[in-house]
Amino acid sequence: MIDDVLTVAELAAAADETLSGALTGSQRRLAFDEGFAPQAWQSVVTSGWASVLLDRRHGGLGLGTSALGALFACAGRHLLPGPLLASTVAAPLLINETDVLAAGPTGLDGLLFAWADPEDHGAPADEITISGGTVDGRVELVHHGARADMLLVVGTDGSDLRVALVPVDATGVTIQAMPSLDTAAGYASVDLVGAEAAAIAGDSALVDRIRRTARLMISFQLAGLARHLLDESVAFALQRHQFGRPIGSFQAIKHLLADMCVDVIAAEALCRSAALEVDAGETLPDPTLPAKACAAATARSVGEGALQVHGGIAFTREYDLHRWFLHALSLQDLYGAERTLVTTIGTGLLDIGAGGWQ
Amino acid sequence: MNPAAENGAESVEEFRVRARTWLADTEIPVLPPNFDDRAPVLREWQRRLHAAGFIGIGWPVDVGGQGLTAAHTLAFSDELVRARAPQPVGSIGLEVVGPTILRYGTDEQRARFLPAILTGEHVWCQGFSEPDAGSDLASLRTSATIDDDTVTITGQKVWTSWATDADWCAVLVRTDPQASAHRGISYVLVDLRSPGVTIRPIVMINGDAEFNELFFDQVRVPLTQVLGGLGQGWKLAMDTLGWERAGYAIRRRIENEVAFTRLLGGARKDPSSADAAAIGRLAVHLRAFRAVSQDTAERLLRGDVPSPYDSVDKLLLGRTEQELTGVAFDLLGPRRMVSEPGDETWSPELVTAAYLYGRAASVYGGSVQIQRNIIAERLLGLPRER
Repeated sequence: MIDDVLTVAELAAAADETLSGALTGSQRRLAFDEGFAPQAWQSVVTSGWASVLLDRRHGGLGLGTSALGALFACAGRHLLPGPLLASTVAAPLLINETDVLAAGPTGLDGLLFAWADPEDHGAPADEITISGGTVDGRVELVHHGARADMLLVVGTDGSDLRVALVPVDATGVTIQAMPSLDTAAGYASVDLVGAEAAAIAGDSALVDRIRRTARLMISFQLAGLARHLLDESVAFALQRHQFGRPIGSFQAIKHLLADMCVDVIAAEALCRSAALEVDAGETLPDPTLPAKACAAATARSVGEGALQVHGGIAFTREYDLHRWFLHALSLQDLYGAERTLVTTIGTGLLDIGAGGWQ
Repeated sequence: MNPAAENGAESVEEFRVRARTWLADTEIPVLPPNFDDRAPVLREWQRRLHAAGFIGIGWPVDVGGQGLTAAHTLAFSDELVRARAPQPVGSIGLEVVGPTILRYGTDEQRARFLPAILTGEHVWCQGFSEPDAGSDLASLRTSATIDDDTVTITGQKVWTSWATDADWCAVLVRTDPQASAHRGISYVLVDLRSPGVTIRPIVMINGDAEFNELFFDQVRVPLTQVLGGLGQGWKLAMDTLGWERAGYAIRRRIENEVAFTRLLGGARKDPSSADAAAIGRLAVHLRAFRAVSQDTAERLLRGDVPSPYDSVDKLLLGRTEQELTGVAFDLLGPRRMVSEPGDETWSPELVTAAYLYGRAASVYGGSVQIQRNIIAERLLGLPRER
């Protein structure tokens, strides 16, 4: 159980231990094969991760993105599949900022949420319309949409963005799994035709805060995936022998791994630095944009390097390494592809009206 | 947390405010365009800084320093860059040779050499690399024979920075040819006015003449100028290289961020033809390096140097510097190779010279190939070369 007197480092160490214990044996195989391991999920997220950002007055820990980020990095390292953003970011922030706890169904506890925001993959949010208590529209690539109990859907009510809480068994809700090579993505499409919302809450400011926090958490998760891919590659290079010695003694391999190592260190440092800025309220310019750009590029290139170091075996299904890489590919463009983010940052800096480089 | 404050000394923030105020009120020297005219200006600047209490910030009071912490030293470096003021000319003495003498010198050596480093009266350089000893520094061949109380040096050094401005040189010489490569090296403090010393500047492709060859022809040096004892040179050199790397990375990062501001100034003159994605990507990498530097500053304050993380810093610094100077170079367009002055901070001459100097960032101070080996072996635990 997470204790609020723990430091971020202690939180991370505890999470590491919990995930090592939870994602073993049949739960590990379920996580890989089905993209979700219910018991592991139960023991980890509902035991405290969902309360990190939740205000104390709602029984939460009232901690910030530095603390939750450490947990997302851990989730990345262990490849914990599940609707992390919905449960640990969207739901707590919703509860913090609105009275949805009172207005919604009794006991949000124990519900599996899915976060359905078209903009997380660049589709316009006004594809979802919210009017008179019902929700209409289609959103795809909803993570774990097919196993959720409650959808948190971002849409427009004509004048502002809102979040609609839609039970999956409401009429007018059709959810279809979207298969992927990355089982951990759990993609689903959601079609809503006059679907009745259990509650409608929030505004653009809240949605922006959820998106920004989500972007940062994904960055930590990508850095964690990259860290695992690096660690595995180093371990492999030490034990794989060719020409009478470990392949890790060949300079070409050493140098590739050294470059991967530098990239991972940089991405991790930038995520932590961005979290400190967000927690201190320093969000202009938005530090989550560079963090995401860096983490996404790093996870991609470190993953490619990991495949290279491992050689042929990395490309087989029976060797689990590829799963971390595939999940990095799924998360890569979430809340901003690298190319889009750097163009946004660059355009902002080129604006003659803009201030100096911060 | 500030240990100095616990002793009743000035906090880093108070010191920073004092430094900033002093710099704002003082006349910042303008460096003459001619390289050779710079030295007198820089020496005078150091004298002023020393008189104002901004030299030897982290050095003990009993050798003439300010008795403050590494955090104070970093803060002052930062303020100098922000004030567009030059770093003290004696930076090699202050940051590399001086600390080596502090750590390994006898009381007599400390008393003799350190005050002059602080005032700028003695400017130092380092004679390490040789034509046949670059990455493989331990194979150096400059030899020294020992005779009663004299060391006689014959050999050649190359890539010695700022030697023409320097008074003294810390030279690595082979004093014991029978010992193993690393163990036969000694660290000797040499007066460059000694008979037999010749300095020859090397002009680089961008027109700078920062580097020099040093020739030693039977140069006689008192045995009392061997630092740390005979055969200890390698250890001394490696120790100080760690400090040099970490401190240099932090300073250079700030300079790169200033350069990025100039780049943005240049790009904003014609924003539509600038490559926004390349500029944005560069900004991301500068941010990432800044984040790593924060970790490095904490490492320095803990005294966790030398460390294989120094090599991470060096690699990241080189990468960002090369990316920065490359983006600036591309921005200039086809006239970039024409030697014409432009505005003071953004011109083909400056930007092209910076790009070329940037290409050397992956070579000097330990090539990136060596740094990758260090990271692979000492950080990742991969097997050594041999």
